[in-house]
Amino acid sequence: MTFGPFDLSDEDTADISFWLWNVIESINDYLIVEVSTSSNQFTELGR
Amino acid sequence: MKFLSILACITVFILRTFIPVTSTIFTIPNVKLPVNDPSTISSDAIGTGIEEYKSLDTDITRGWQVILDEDFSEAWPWAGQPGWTVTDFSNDNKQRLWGNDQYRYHSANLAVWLARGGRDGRDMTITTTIISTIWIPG
Repeated sequence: MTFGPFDLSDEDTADISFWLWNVIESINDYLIVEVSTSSNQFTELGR
Repeated sequence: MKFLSILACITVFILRTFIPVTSTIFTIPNVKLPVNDPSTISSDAIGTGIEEYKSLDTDITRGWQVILDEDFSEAWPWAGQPGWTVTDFSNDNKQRLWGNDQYRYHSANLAVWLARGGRDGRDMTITTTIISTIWIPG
């Protein structure tokens, strides 16, 4: 799922935080957080 | 993946002025967005298994503008709430989308579940199907 875009053109900095609780298979399952400034190419922040 | 559930609360802030922030809003994680320079993207660990949720502290958030605070506790996603897009990236001719359900909700009334929504959304109490999807908040 995707949210956005945000217009951050006039901002100095931004921060995203989230709280998460999950039940997953540690080998097969993962959550990826990515951001994009183009809506086409995303940069993975972590998984 | 035989069983997957995710409860999440997302908050995005913009710091308009450089007021020192002495503590984090939530326990983890703290991911920086690429405001001016994509090369500055950095990330701390994305936590899993975190069950603690800290409420917003107005003193801590002074100087920040909240532009998104989502706990998925209402009907979601819905047409009256622009911004969210859910997509099924699998190639199995099924449409399973992120959706919310009362099953195993945690701090709110509902929890967001992979494959709960869409034409072929599943009852999460009995789901054992392998599903591929992606969650990209940003």
